[in-house]
Amino acid sequence: MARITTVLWRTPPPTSVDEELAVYDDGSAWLAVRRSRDGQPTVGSWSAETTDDDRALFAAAGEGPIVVDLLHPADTGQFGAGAERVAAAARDSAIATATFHAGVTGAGAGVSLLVVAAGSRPVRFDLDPSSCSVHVGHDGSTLAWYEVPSVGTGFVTPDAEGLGGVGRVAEVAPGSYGAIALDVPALAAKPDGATEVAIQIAGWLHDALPDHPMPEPFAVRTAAVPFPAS
Amino acid sequence: MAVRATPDSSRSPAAPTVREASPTSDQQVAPSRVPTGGPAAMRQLQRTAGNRAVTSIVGRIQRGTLQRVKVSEATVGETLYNQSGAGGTAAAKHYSIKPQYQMTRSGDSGVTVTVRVKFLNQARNGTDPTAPGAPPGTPALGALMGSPTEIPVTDPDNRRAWCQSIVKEQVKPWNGRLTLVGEEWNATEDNTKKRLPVTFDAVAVFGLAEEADNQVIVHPTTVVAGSPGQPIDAGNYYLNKGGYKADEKVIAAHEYGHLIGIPDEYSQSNEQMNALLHQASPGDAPSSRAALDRKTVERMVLSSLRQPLYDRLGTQMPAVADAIRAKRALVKTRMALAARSGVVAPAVRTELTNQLTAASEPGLAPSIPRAVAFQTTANFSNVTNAGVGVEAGFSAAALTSQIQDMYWKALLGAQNAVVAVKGLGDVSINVQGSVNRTTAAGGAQQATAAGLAASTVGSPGGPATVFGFPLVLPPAGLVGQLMALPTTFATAGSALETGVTPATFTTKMESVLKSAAAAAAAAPLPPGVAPPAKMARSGELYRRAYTLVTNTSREASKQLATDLINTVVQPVLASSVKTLETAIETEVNRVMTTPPAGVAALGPADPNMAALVAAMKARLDANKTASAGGGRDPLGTGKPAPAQDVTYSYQGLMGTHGTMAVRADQFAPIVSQFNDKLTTFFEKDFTAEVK
Repeated sequence: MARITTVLWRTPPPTSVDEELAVYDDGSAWLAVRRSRDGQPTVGSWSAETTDDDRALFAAAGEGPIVVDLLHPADTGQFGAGAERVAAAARDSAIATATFHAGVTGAGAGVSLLVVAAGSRPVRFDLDPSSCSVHVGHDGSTLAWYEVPSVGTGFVTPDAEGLGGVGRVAEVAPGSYGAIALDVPALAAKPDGATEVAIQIAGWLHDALPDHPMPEPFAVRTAAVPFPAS
Repeated sequence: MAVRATPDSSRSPAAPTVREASPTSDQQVAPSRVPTGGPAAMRQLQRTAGNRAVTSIVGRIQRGTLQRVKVSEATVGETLYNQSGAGGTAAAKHYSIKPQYQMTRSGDSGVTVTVRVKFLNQARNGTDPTAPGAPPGTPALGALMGSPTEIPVTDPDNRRAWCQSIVKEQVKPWNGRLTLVGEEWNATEDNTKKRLPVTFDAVAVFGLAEEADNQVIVHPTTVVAGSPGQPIDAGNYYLNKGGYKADEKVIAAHEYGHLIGIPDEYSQSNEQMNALLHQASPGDAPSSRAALDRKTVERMVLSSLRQPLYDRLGTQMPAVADAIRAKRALVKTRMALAARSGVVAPAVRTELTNQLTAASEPGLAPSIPRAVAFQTTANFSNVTNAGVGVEAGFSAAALTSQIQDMYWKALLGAQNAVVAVKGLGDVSINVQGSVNRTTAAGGAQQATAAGLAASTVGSPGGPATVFGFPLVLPPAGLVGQLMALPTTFATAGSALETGVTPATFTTKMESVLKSAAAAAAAAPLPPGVAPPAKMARSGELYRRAYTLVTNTSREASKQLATDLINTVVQPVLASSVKTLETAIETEVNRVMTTPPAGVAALGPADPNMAALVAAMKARLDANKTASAGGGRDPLGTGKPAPAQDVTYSYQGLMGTHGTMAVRADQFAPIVSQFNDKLTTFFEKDFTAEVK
């Protein structure tokens, strides 16, 4: 299948939104989210069917990529509205997605990163641990953050089956989940007033689009979870 | 972020007209400046206004009298290449800034710049007007509907408090950075040096009729930013922004920069960068444009080669994978030895015990040490488990994916690395899709790039016929280097010897077990997952221990095997990309800096490299020629702003705000206003000093 057009929703850092809609001549449209515009900690691929009218609209816009700066959306008229509509429809049909959560173990001494996969096929990604960080704070504001020390393993299921994700690509089947225990000794001296912890994650999403198996960078931040007082 | 597009309106359409300065009981208007200063003019002023009046003004300033003026600068236009142009280029769009603020001088102790931001409530249309069933007359997605209203004092989301917080946060990156430096003329002694630190302030106002310099709509928590019709933009703030809470402060700080007259510095053309370089550098400093142009051509070449290089390596990976797999027996043997010792380490046994204890009824506790001991010794097959793990890590598919992905990442990393531009700072060079299309199927440079990719990636060698003679060619290029890697596994001090040891195996097992425990403790559990019942029988305990030990040791083996490949392959790929970058740079320098007389001494160029560099230079030159003379705001000055193959983004606060960097030249509008409105007759013009 050939790509008819590409729409990119982007923002500059720090939000760095990266959503890509690829429309194909077989009638499918794939949405790849590598950094969501709504800040949800989910990356991956979704898909929707397009109508003849949609495809005509997209074909008329050309191959693209059509870049939409979300911080200053230009008037893209029917094309822009059509792209938003197809992207919204795609979000109802996950192909391969990974949602990340922060977890706290013990009395707050340990932090873990959890991934849950959804969709119709395994989601493929790997982390860049050197770009990940643990944030402790209060009411959404970071009071301190810590680099993630060397990560010894990728994601692991409760049965100790390795899913990958560090040093090799994780392949997490829909419905499966796994965790990485993060050893952050500095957390023991977390600042006064810290009540929650979140994890900033950076990595690479693979196979997000049918004609683009190569890894592309993704970034998410987990929702904050309560952090027990020391 | 870009400010509001023209010709729609300025960025704050509802902001009230700013009155000119008027003195009040605690405000003093600065004395009007005359065109020329110095002693002669001073005497003229004294004759006109009287010695006492002049002395009084100077004295009040020196004593710290407050002077406050309202600054309403002329609308400033800006052109950004943030639109999609034909063929994957970047196209230009025009925007405008309407700087408005108050500037207060506290004698010789400092200056305060204050922006009043009016926060209001207004709904946006979230219904797609083109969707089936949309009512006739539905406005565009995201259009503000009706008129703005005040945010209630009793707002359930307490938006006013949130606004008070955001105005405090948005000035933080600006404060402590700017000092106005000047001096005052003295007739009988050395001039008085003055240093006035500038404090930036923002004030939230909430009344519809209140004066303000900017207006922002604040949406309640019931509205999710990013949902249809609710895009993040400069005039709309959202309380419900998920993971972007912290980032919003940076965005607000960037917006504050516009309100004090600083335009955007991202999505710039080469011509615009040239103008920015001149703005940022002293007049007699050599321009960095030539260096930036050379780096631009280098990045264009590298970007255009990325896909051909990746594809070429993909075709050669079977030979590379075979060469690595041929040595996996060696890896399995060493892994088995490491596993036998590593699995009985106290750290592993302790972690196993902890997990089994957590999953068992208390009555099983006495049996747990025995189960752990049995499954890590008598019932543990180190050879089998190590073999399974290594085989998984060394499968042809795994090796191909791992190495090809690493190569892609290395190329992307080189492509996206920021460039330190002398006199300005870090800049990203954003090569547009139009450049990459030249080397795709059907592109003008497809054959050239394919040839370069072939010579860079190389081949596994093998039988060949040269001039009718059968030969066996050796592996060459990147492929040759990758195929040679496993031959080092058996040498003393190799990555295999240092990376696969009982200690590293233990560490891996411990990490896997801790992560398994974290997964088991996940709360809440993912949908459809039921928490396991606690084990109560010895058989269950032994089976669970077996599962954990087996899976953990296999995963540890696989991870160590993968780490081994990463350790040996990564430097080779990095070196290959660096060598390619050097080759590109050499050819770019040959074309763009070497005098004709010196070219011959450089030796013959790779014809493919020469052709690709020439093609990319020609594209850049065409871009430059077409946009020459446009300055920073071509669309605002009636100059051509043709689509570009490359754009540039300054990394500082007014660029892509990847860093909080600011520069002295950015404050020129404020300094100019200060010198015009708030200096005394005896003071020379102040300049900006930024730290």
